Amino acid sequence: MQSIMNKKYIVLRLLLVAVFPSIGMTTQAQIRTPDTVKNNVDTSSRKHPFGEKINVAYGQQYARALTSAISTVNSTVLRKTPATTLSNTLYGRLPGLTMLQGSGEPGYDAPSAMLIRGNGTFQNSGFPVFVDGFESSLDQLAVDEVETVSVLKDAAALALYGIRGANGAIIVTTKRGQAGKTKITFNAQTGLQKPTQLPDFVGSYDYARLYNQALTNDGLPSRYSPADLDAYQSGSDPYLHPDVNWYDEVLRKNAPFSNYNLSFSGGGNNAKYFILLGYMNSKGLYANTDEDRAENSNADYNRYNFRSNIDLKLNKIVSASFDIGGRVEDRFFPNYNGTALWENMAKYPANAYPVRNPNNSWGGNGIYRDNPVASVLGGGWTSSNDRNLNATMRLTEDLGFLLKGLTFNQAFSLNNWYRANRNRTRSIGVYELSGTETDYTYRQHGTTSDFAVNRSGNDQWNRTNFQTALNYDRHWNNHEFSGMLMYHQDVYKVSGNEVPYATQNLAGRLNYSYKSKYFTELGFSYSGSENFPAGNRFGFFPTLSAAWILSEEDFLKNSSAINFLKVRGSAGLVGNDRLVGSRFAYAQNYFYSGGYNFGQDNTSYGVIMEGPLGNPNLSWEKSMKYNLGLEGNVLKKVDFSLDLFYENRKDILATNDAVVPSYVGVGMPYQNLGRVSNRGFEFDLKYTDQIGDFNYFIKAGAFYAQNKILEMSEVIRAEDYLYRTGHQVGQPFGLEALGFFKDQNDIDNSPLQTFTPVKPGDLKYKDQNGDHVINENDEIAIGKGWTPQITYTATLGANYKGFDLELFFQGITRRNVYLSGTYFWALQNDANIPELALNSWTPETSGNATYPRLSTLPNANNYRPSTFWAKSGGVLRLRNVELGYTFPTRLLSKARISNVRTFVSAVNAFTWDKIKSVDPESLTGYPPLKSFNVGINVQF
Amino acid sequence: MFSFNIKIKEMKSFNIKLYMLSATGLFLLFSSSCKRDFLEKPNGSDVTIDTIFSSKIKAETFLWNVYGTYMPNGFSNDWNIRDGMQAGMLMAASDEGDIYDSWPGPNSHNEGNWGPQGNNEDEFGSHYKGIRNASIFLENVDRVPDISATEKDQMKAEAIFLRALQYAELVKRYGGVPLVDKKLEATGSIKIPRSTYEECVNFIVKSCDEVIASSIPDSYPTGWRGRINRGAALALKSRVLLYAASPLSNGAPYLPDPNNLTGYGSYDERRWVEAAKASKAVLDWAAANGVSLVKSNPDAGVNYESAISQQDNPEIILANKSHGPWGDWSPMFQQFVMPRGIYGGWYGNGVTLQMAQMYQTATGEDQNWPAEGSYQELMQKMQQMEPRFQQSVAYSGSKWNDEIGTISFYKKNDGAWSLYAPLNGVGYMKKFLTRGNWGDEYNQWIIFRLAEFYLNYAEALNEHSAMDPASYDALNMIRERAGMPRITSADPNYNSQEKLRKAIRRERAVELAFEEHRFFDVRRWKIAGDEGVMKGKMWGLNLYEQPNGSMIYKMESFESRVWQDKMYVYPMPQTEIDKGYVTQTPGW
Repeated sequence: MQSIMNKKYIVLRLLLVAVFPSIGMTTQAQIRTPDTVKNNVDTSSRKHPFGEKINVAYGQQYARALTSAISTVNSTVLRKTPATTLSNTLYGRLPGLTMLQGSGEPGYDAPSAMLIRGNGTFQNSGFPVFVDGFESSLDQLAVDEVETVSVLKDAAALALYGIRGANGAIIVTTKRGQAGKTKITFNAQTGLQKPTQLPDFVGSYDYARLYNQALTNDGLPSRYSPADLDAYQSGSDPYLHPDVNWYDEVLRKNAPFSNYNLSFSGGGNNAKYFILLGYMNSKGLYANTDEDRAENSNADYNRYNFRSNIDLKLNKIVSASFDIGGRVEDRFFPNYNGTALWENMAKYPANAYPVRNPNNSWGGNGIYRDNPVASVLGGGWTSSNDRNLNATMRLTEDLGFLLKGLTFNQAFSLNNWYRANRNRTRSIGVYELSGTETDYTYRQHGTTSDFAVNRSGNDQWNRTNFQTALNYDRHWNNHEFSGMLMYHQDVYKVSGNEVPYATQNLAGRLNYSYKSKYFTELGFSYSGSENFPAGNRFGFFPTLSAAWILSEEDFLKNSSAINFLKVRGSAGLVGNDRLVGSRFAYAQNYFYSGGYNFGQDNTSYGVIMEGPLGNPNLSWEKSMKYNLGLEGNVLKKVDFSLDLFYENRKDILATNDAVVPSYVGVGMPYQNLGRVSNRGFEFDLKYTDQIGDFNYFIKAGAFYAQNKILEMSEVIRAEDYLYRTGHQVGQPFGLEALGFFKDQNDIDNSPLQTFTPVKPGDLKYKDQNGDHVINENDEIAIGKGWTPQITYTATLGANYKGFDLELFFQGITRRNVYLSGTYFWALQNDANIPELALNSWTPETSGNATYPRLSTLPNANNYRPSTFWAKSGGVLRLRNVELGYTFPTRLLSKARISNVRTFVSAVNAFTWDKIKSVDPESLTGYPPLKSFNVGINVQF
Repeated sequence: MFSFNIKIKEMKSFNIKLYMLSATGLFLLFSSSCKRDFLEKPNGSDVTIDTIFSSKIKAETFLWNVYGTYMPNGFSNDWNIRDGMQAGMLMAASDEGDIYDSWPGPNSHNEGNWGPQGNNEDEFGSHYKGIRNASIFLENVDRVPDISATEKDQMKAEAIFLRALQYAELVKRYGGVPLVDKKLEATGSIKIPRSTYEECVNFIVKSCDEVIASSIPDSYPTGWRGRINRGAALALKSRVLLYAASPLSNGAPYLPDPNNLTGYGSYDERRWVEAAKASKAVLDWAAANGVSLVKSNPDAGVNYESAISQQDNPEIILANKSHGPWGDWSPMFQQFVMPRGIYGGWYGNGVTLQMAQMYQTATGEDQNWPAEGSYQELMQKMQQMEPRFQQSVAYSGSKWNDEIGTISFYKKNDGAWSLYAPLNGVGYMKKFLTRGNWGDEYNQWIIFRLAEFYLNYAEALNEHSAMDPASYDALNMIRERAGMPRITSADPNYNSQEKLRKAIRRERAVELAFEEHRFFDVRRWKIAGDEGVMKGKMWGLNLYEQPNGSMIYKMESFESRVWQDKMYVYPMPQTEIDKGYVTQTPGW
């Protein structure tokens, strides 16, 4: 036996030397327990003064010992927001995570933006998401399989991600079984969803009247005669003078949503399990669709989730876990692009044509080709079937026999996704109606074909991960050492890219604490990215952090006011390897694009083009992050936490196009030229109290991030105020609108506006540089950007004798939106007239008009970025309100039920904003939704 | 420091096996992944310069890229400013025509509202993209194993021509420009100052001579129409030398020009001799290679229309066939070019009265246009105009094509406009357009057609050999084809060098109307600043319905245009000046 042990020791030594050649053997003494791969060694038996453990990068740490900035939310909180996409439950829940609401289309309703601590770069600010330690998407997980979602914010929290850490990270941890009696949980909820806001456009009479007005403004003949106007006003002729509200015709009042989850968890000391089955269904807003999908389909999303997380203790030394999680998703849609359909509903005027002609054929015409009702009901459907399976195996060996406190673990994870499409589609003929009421004539546009079924467009990805780590954890008297050293590699293959993506990371951390009140941590990563050329591929990213629990010191220990007080700080370097431009931008790229025609048949011959030059010195963005945190509890009733951060990002990619002469004849490569600074805070305050049986809490928080571009290799600009450098990322620029030109005299006495000759009623702009000409050089920084600088939240919660109530408000501010395009620019590109254009400028209304003169022609003067189109983008929503009732246990125990709770809830029930006509966070397309729900949780 | 105080007996052999197994597995996994650089880019189907020039088929694909990079196209396309002008054609920015709407691109030129900050007629840098592509091809094509030496010679000639064509397009706009004849790298010294006008012309001519001397074909099978033949090189040389000999560059500069960017600085008659020789070379080549004026139809008007609109007609030396078909909304093209109300047109191009006055009547007389008159009188005068006018201008009461029929436009009694109205000018430009519809017929943009070289020859010859009979002959070739009477030196209207010069310029305006010649011709002749050319009032004939239902026309000015002499040669974009590598054009 002794010989076996020796062999084993040799193998271990070999392993360590092979994997971590640069690390001397002595370091191993400091390597410690849990981490990397989720810790499967049962540490619960050991008493620890710091209470709860929370998830950190590749491991867990005690909350009180934490030296980094991490916000975490538990899935019981997330479940209060019924949503098809998990990220939609996170609005305002995680301080530091800025989010914007996106489309509400079933199955595609992820937030339109997610940023951790704002924008630290003017290039790609995306961040990785890790589920149980491996990169994956969180969106399609069932909320009931999730234990926690955390946002890692500062350098200390992100240290182990190294080259990929600069934009922050989200880590998701799934539920695991606990030793004890089997728990069976059934959660069901169902509800109705409605758009938060639908835009309003004018009816036929106003459209025709205003169209004539616009033509008059343009000096063109009227299109609608007085008789036409009468017919529109009276509605006497619904076929030749229709008045169609496309939203009313295409949409129904509400769409159902339901979600059912059944889970089992439990186990003994040697085996524990968590098993979940989930079903979720969300239907679309389209009216009159066919439930059997014989002819058409609503937008319809079905999802089946399953998960089985098994933990085994194989013996005293080896523990293992086997996790299988996955889902099947079925999506159905009308055979018409959703974004285009919503664009058409906005664009098509009420008098375009009747939905159906007198002979029951679909209405249509040449300009407004695609009758929106026919688009939904007439063209068949498309569908996709997605399958995702994620399997992870982990082994943990307690190497206490070699060195007390040493463990070693390995994990292997496969994650794959496949999508198949199946469509049943046909083209639709529409008929343009003309003539008179007694003698209609029909002009056909397009033909109605037979249904065709196809199974095209397969799509897939798969990911193969490998991880291994050594952990060490020991304490002597007042000293505690722990350490972790790990290796991670990831290969990601995705269809459409014949070259897989690969990453490699060697990372670790060393912790030392004294007397459980002083904590320090050194984290590092030596990580590489294939985006960079050989020799330039790896970077070293160190961070240092420390915490001090002041309330453990003698001078506060006996304070009755301050029960807990901790300060912590961190500083460190992390990177961002997400590049813009072509992949492998270090090499020169040539690509096929378009063609050139020769011959009598104009045959097109494909061409190869030269891409931008390669940059062999390409490197990643480097971010120095600093964080200072303060958290505490006062009077046992008030919890507070405050984080201040500052970030200095350099080596952001920018091109030299602004300085290299264009006679070189090729696009310049991206180079590491840009710099951005970013600063802000997160603040949270919670007050908890009770009056008799009435328990309540009030929670309020806010977080703020503001960045500034310090360098971006900007082109030389004519005026100082034109420079984007010095402003925030995404700072909008535009003209300063002074109002409308009153008359020709006003125009003659104003600086020349050069975009197009102006007429009275056009927007008048300020001449910023005093050159008596208004052009692009008069554009100044106007307002704020699209992403909010501040998010604030307030939660009011109470429970009384089985009843519980919670209201959750979330708001965003220091944000502007800029109205442009079909939904707002009347008659441009044959668009409709929005109601906000009702009070347009005419000589009669010149005193109080709120919209420029209408024009049927392109008008480059009015329809361009200016303060006129800027609106406050501030939004406050009642994100969630929930009223629940928990039945008294004595009633349930007879039925062997341990807990029953029912609830009613509403999501996005109220929205306060300044835009009014559309949802302020998602101006166009399928709107965000609000919902009203009922549900029940039963636990056996 | 490792403690071995474990009780081995407690370990079951199973555990050890399992552990050994996993540890060994991991070890193997590691050692295999460490063998190669895990992050090295694997071999894929990437296209590199080496793969492009590894086979004929790929090298050709790159040659098509040289063709496709900024080949001239006068039709506006998809909002870009490369083709024609933004949302318009060059004819609407010259005295040939105008667009009624105020927003499309040509207005900026007419209003004088363009310059280094913005010029929506041209993309300076895109020419150099084409030049670079040609250089890349030339520097690498010798590497391709499966192309014969003759074929390489021919393909190189194509690239040399295309590079010279880009320089010609640059020089006629900007004067002297940086001459780049190799692929530049981003590093090292990339400062190349603007060459003189003369150096640029010499470079182009030298390139053309190389192509002419090469094995490039004189013609191609029908499937390869649109490729460069020897005639194209002769044609480019003729055009460039004609421009070089013209008053703008051949004489004292219009503005002080210390670097000779806009011309030679002084006059030399020999430049006209060279221009005439080069033009004659085109005519001789054409005669020997079956390139001829379209004359097959008894109707002169039909011949003229065919010479413009018929695909691959025998008059074409080089055409850009890549514009795509006539059609609906994408890419935006028909909207920009068709008259208001026809096949989706948004405004159409009006033809000015000044332009109409360039045309003669069918009998070769000048038409007299009174300031006001009856509709009948107008129709009569219009119908008297020569065949090319009938083919090029759609006036109120004339037929567009068989499908659309007759169009008319006038201001009604109630102050409203009729269908197809309003427009600026005497009627709509219909040259190029009458075969267009909603269908998928292809159109083309002719870069060189033979008619131009008769006119080039006539002009150059008359300048150095006044009233040379060959000059009259060349001009009469064009007039005869158009069904117009010959002119002679005996005619008192044409009996001096100056009168012949005037006749040649007028013939050129008519024959090559709207084909992107006039815009540049008035510059090289240095007449753009004359009243009524690019400066001052522009005129049209407008019809008004009378209370009694009859109609009268009135001669009315629709706008006054702005010209400054610095506009003869384009300024460099300010963005290029700011980079500090090139100097600005005189006057800007």
